[in-house]
Amino acid sequence: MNNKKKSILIFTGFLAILILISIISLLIGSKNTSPADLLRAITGQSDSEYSILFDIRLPRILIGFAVGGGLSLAGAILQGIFRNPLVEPYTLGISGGATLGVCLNLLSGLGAGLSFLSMPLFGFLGAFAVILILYSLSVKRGIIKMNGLLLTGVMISFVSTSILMLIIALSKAEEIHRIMFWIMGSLEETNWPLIWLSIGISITGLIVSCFYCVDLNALSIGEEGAAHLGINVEKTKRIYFIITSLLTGFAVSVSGVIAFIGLIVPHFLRMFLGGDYRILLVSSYLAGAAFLIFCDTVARTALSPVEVPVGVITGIIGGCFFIYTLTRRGILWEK
Amino acid sequence: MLDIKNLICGYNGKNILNDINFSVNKGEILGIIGPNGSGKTTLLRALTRILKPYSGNIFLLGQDIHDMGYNEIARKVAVVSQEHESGWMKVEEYALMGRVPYYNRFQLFEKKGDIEIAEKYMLMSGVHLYRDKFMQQISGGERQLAEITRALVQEPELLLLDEPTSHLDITHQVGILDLIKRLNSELKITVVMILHDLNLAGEYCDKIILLNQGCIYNHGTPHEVLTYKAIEDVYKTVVIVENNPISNKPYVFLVSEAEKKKNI
Repeated sequence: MNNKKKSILIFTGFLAILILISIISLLIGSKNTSPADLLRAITGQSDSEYSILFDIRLPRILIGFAVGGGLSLAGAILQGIFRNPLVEPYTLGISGGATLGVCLNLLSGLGAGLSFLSMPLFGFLGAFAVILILYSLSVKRGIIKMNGLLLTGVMISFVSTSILMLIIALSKAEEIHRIMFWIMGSLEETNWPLIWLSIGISITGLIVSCFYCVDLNALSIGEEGAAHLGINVEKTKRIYFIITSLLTGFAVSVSGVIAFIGLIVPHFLRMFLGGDYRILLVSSYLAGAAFLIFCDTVARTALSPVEVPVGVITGIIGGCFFIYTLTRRGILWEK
Repeated sequence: MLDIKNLICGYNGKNILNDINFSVNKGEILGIIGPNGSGKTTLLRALTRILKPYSGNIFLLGQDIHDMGYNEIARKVAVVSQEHESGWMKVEEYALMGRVPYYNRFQLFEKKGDIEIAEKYMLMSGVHLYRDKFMQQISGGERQLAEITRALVQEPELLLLDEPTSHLDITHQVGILDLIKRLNSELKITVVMILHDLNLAGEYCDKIILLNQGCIYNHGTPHEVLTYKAIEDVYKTVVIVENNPISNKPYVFLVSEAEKKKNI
């Protein structure tokens, strides 16, 4: 079986899983719905069912798709570029930068003229700033080696959290509530244009990154090795940095900080599917989307009627997984 | 094939190479030797456009390499460097990476022809015997062979190698250099390689360049370059040069301190 057929088969499998999880997520909640009810709601025979399914649950699933897929894809890309299996938007501090950007926007009102676009825009700018710092420190000037990179990322997260604290300390009570609620990470979103825009950005990111996945494969033999294979390394990195900033900035601005999706999903897939990015990128996207929708369903239903922030769930799973990986990383990814 | 004219380059404003001029003829095996820090690897990095020269030109088949696309160079020049990073992939997948310079922008998967070419060179170098092993699981010698195979799959006219025999036992050293010699005579690939071992350089190269502190000390046949005077001058080490009884190529003998004292 050649690589092309193999990857189509794998993608179909993940797509099926994604659709299955989405349907299950649509049907369960504080009030369980049967598939028959779903059919009745679609055909317009039941208005109350319709509103629960399509105004409350469906937006969450769509956001889960865009955010989960986007973050997971961003993680896979960053791992490829930095050639380190432990980097992802959260561990590199990119999510932290995006958070700071969005908070600055919330409080300063700088982007007021842009209405719902201002949050994603500031998220993107924050994320991009962090990537530029990391890039100029590590890759270009070679100041930090790969392992130092993670520490630098964690420090950037600390710094942005501290600045965030400062902002919160200086702001009014009702604003604090708004910020805290958003930071905890939730997939709740009622603004339909924003939902469609998130999906659009997320899928565009996936399509563009697929065009360069051969370059990412070549980068796994080192930057010089890739250049010797005729890859314009600087250009590839620039494109990927913009894509990951966009994906992360958007995800953070829509749903707050959802940690570790970009770590767990690509890592897990790499164990089973190997390191070929032609297969890994799309798989990571689909599996990441499915995983976040699953986590969100758990967050909604596990302690019902109390709703747990989904960021808490991924944070707990991901943090444990990170430590586990760290202890056995030599086996999986030797330099 | 390759013409280097007045090349000056280095890092951070400091010159490592000063005014390098030389040419490589088609079908030649050129060895570059010199002490540590003499600029051998810097020269190789300049030749592959990784390092931008401060001044001077490098012409590949009459064309300035800085006017060529990355892809275009990669189809003519393949490099086996000292960096041994390979991600998590199988030997077979690694060899197939050599076809990347031939992909179109929107091509994601290899074509049938690409697989056939990879297959052919894997057979030639013998790496097909462990094609399903991961790059991290094979020995240093097998790895070096896999890297040379990947370079061959690029179907280059010029092959650049940075110390292809370092850290290898003599079986693999000779095996790899014999392979390179065979590629040179059968496929007419021009070879430029950096070698640490003066005797291997003398045995396998048609021409040798001896670098000293960023300048070309001498450029010529092994007999012209590997003289005891030149080596003592550049390496600051006492040696004796005799001919290899089989090949009649120059062979460098080292003289230890104890022996020197005995003979005075």
